[in-house]
Amino acid sequence: MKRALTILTLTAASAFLVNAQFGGVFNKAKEKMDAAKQKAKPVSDRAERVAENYTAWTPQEEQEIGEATAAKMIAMFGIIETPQLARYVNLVGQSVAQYAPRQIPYRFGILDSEIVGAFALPGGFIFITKTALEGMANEAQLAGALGHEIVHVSERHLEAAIRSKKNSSWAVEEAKAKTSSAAPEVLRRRADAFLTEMFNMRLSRDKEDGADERGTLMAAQAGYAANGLLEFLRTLAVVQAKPENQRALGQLLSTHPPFDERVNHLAPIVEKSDKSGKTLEARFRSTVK
Amino acid sequence: MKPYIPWLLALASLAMAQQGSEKKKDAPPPEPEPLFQKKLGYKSSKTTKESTTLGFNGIDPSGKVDQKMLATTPTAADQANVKKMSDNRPTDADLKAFVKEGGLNAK
Repeated sequence: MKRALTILTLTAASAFLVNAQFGGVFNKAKEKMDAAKQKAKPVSDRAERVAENYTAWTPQEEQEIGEATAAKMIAMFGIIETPQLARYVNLVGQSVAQYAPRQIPYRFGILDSEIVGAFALPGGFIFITKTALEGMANEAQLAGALGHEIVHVSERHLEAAIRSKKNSSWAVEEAKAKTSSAAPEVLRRRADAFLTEMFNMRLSRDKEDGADERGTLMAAQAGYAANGLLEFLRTLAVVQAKPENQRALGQLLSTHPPFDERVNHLAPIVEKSDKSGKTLEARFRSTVK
Repeated sequence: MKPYIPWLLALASLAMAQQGSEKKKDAPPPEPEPLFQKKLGYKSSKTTKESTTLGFNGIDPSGKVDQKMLATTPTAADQANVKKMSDNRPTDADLKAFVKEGGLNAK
């Protein structure tokens, strides 16, 4: 017993000495590795982290900018006014949005556009195009696509990315806004600047992957089949192969990663998800027709 | 037969051919091929404002939104449609009924 105690004490003392001697070296090596990892991240990621340190818009600012931007989107494309369809997309969107981490009044609309796309604006305004709806097979696909946009709004991705861009049209408008007193004119210009950036900006890869992933999980949490967004992306990957579809898909592809890469990222996540979710194909087909 | 009649006939047929080609020039561009099989039947704020469908107007051949489109200024009707989006938000009771009908998860 006495011998065992002596061995234990000696082992503990040796471990303490080794740690005291080399622990600093290990820690420094770890710090260096972390710094290298940080450096390897894309520039856009670092810019977004800087932006996330900005003071976020107040709820009122976000709401006003959202309303002005939504009005401009409607002016540009037109909005589907068929009440049954508008109500349905809102209900699907709300079913998912009730699980969003940031609770604001989410609103959904269908843009009358030949392009395939969905857009997340400040203040909870989310649009999907009628052509995107035409390409969907069931309600779970719609829920997944809206889930992706809800994540962008909830996590303020676009706000952070746009405000981090130096010398952008948005930066110019922010500077002008400080010296102007005509509120409607400022809002109109802000909406112009926001959309100019939105249609030309590519969010960082981790933001897009994160929106696919968390949008999918949010839709699954609401009770939808987890493969909704994944299946829609697979459909888009197939139609993309035809050159004549370039015009319809060009905007989406210019601001998002390629469809096959998104599919590859999302597939293992969907594979691990609960398989009991609903696709609700019949309800979708009875409304989207 | 008068000698100038064949010349008159030739001139008339040339004029008709010219008219036909002008008609072709005036014809609207063909509708774009649908991307997907399904085409939605709907009422749009755009088609109520304008008599013709805009199709890919405002979208350049690469699919990007063009500068002219970005310069569009919203009208009072567009602002009203934004308000309508807020009004279209379902009530808690409507949402609960929709969730229940689909067998989705109640929160």
